[in-house]
Amino acid sequence: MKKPTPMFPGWLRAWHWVNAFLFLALVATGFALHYGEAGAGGYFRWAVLGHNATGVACTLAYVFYLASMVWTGHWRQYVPRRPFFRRAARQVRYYLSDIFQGGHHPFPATVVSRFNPLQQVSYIGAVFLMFPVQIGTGLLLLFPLSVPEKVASLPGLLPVAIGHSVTAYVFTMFLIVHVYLAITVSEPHTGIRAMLFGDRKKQGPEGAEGQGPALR
Amino acid sequence: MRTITILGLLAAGLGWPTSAVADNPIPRTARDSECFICHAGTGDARAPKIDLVAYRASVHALHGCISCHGDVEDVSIAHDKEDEDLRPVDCAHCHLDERVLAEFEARAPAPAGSERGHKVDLVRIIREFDQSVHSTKSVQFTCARCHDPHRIRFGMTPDESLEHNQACLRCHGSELEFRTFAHRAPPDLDAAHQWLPNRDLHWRSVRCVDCHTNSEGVVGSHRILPKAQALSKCESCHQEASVLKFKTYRYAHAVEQEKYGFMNAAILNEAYVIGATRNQTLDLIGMSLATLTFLGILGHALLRTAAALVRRKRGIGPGGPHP
Ligand code: HEC
Ligand code: HEC
Ligand code: HEC
Ligand code: HEC
Ligand code: HEC
Ligand code: HEC
Ligand code: HEC
Repeated sequence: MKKPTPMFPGWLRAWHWVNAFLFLALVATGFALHYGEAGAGGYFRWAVLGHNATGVACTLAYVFYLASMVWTGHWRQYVPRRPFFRRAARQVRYYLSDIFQGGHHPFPATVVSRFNPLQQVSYIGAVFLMFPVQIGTGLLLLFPLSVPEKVASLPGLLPVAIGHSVTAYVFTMFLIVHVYLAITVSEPHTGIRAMLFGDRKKQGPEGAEGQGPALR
Repeated sequence: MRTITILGLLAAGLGWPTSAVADNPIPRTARDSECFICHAGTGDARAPKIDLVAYRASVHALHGCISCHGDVEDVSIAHDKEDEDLRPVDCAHCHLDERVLAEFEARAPAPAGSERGHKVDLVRIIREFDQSVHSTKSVQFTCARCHDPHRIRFGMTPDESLEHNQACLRCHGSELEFRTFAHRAPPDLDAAHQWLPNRDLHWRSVRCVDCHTNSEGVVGSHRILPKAQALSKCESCHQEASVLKFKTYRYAHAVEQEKYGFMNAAILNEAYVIGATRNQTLDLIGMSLATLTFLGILGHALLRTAAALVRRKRGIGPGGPHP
């Protein structure tokens, strides 16, 4: 018999958890840096070190993720399906109303299509927009000499610093929603356990619950 | 010698020669020249010297040594013995009492055209001083710990008697001196100020009291606060309407000029710098949005729980109205 494909392949799970850990560390140290004042017990220096180190590690992990994505064809997961807006609207309806009536996911995850339409857009934003911005601005802050001293009479680093902060806030919001949905809303075979262990047993290549939308 | 053990304020009550002032016609400065023999001249090599030029220009010069050092009235007193420490001078004795002060002033009016008139609010200063961490923690603290009492001028400007931060560093930079007050080693200033980039540059330009007093808008506050309340926000100084600007300090201009170059300089130096990426409006929006997100999630979760309870009550299974 053919070995069942896991919902989440090993490389993806590895990246996900490494990234999750780095994210938490970055958010914590980032806030410490941003709001830090008096260096109570000299934590500031550690926050700087920690933020720089985890930031670089996160960049490497991101590169790994991009490479694996291309290598395995995982990138196809990000290609929206048609009719995109109708599907997205249905997902919105699910979160805003059906979910309270005990309704089911309109687009249960399958190995070929793991993301629901809303997940897809937010992940596209996170992976292909916010990650590059955050990594780019982060690296510029790490090597500030590479930034022109003045841009139109304002400090050159100003937009860089603001970009880094804004994206950090958006990432924080993303994290809050992501964790909530992962813990309480996700289907059993795509939840935390699946992300940890791959959820091999239940999933055939076609997915357990079939393709059909659960709600009419 | 010099171990001053009595609370200065107490000294005020211990027979200060106030009553003698009014009915003694001899100017109190008459004896000064005697004192100078030893304390400014070569009369006794062991006698601590005072800077005559500075003293003559100082505000108390008109009142004579013995106005303050009342118990040296008789020069024949061997005030050099270890066991005969002089009573500490109590500034408050004159400066908190309008009457005493007026007496002294009437006795030795300042010559016309002198600097008198740049009145500083000594009453306020003494009050603030009494509330400072130093006075509340150590009774031995007196004004003279920081100010050279023999150089004080009208409208005294800080640099004249304080030599910038040396007044503070005299104790906080010297274990020996500090121990005479606290019986322990002084806190490590380097560690305590590690968060401040370009620390030495700051210390050259900013005074310790700029951060360690609640002197927003007030020049020369003496209420040194507990360390937790020290000023640490970079924006308070590195912004247009800053604390520093309110204080008439000579570097205020420099700061303003540096304003635009600041962010760069801040980040170029060492590593990431607090405050550099900080923008209050942005932070407010960011934090609000993050909080709203969290509250939204919380509301969603509560609604779901409530809805599930209702469904269970009505006997609708966990699957809900599944087609
Ligand atoms: C004969 C020399 C001589 C004369 C005159 C003299 N002093 Fe002194 N004075 C000394 C010496 C010596 C010491 C240092 C004592 C020591 O270190 O043990 C001293 C110490 C002092 C001290 C410091 C005491 C302390 O406890 O810290 C004061 C204050 C002082 N003199 C004030 C005066 C005044 C005011 C006059 C004038 C009325 C005066 N002295 C005249 C020799 C003199
Ligand atoms: C405004 C009050 C005032 C006047 C006036 C004054 N002194 Fe003092 N003097 C002090 C204070 C305060 C101290 C510090 C010690 C203390 O708190 O008692 C001091 C300390 C001293 C010391 C010890 C200094 C040391 O380094 O150990 C000497 C000596 C002295 N005074 C001499 C004089 C002489 C001489 C005159 C007059 C020329 C004079 N003082 C005038 C307030 C005064
Ligand atoms: C014997 C009384 C007396 C003592 C003790 C005394 N002073 Fe004075 N002080 C005066 C007089 C009188 C004036 C002049 C006030 C005036 O003319 O307005 C004055 C003026 C001053 C001024 C200038 C005030 C201004 O408006 O610029 C300062 C500062 C000052 N004293 C500080 C001190 C300090 C610090 C001490 C303690 C070391 C001290 N005084 C102790 C009598 C005294
Ligand atoms: C830019 C503002 C600033 C300046 C300038 C500054 N400090 Fe501080 N200082 C602080 C802050 C903030 C803290 C509290 C740090 C903490 O909580 O660990 C502090 C802490 C301290 C402490 C307490 C240390 C401890 O661990 O108990 C001392 C003492 C001190 N400062 C002395 C000085 C002296 C002396 C100077 C002048 C040479 C000075 N400071 C200049 C902001 C400043
Ligand atoms: C811990 C050190 C310290 C002590 C103790 C201290 N001062 Fe000061 N004093 C300072 C410093 C520092 C400044 C300069 C502050 C400024 O200009 O902002 C200053 C400034 C002053 C000024 C000039 C203020 C002005 O507006 O120009 C006067 C007057 C003064 N002190 C009086 C006193 C008197 C009186 C006492 C005792 C009750 C005292 N000081 C105790 C450190 C001290
Ligand atoms: C005569 C010595 C002396 C001088 C001068 C002095 N200090 Fe202090 N300071 C002390 C001592 C002693 C302590 C510790 C008090 C204690 O904890 O018992 C202290 C404590 C402090 C603290 C810590 C308070 C806390 O919360 O732990 C600060 C801040 C401080 N000083 C600031 C200053 C500043 C600013 C100046 C100059 C304007 C100054 N000191 C001048 C002796 C001095
Ligand atoms: C008490 C006021 C004060 C506080 C608080 C303060 N600074 Fe400063 N800072 C100054 C002054 C004054 C200068 C100007 C020094 C000079 O040029 O001599 C300066 C200079 C600097 C410089 C060097 C600028 C240049 O062009 O070389 C940097 C960097 C800096 N500050 C960063 C900070 C940071 C970061 C903080 C917060 C952790 C901070 N400062 C807190 C007053 C302050």
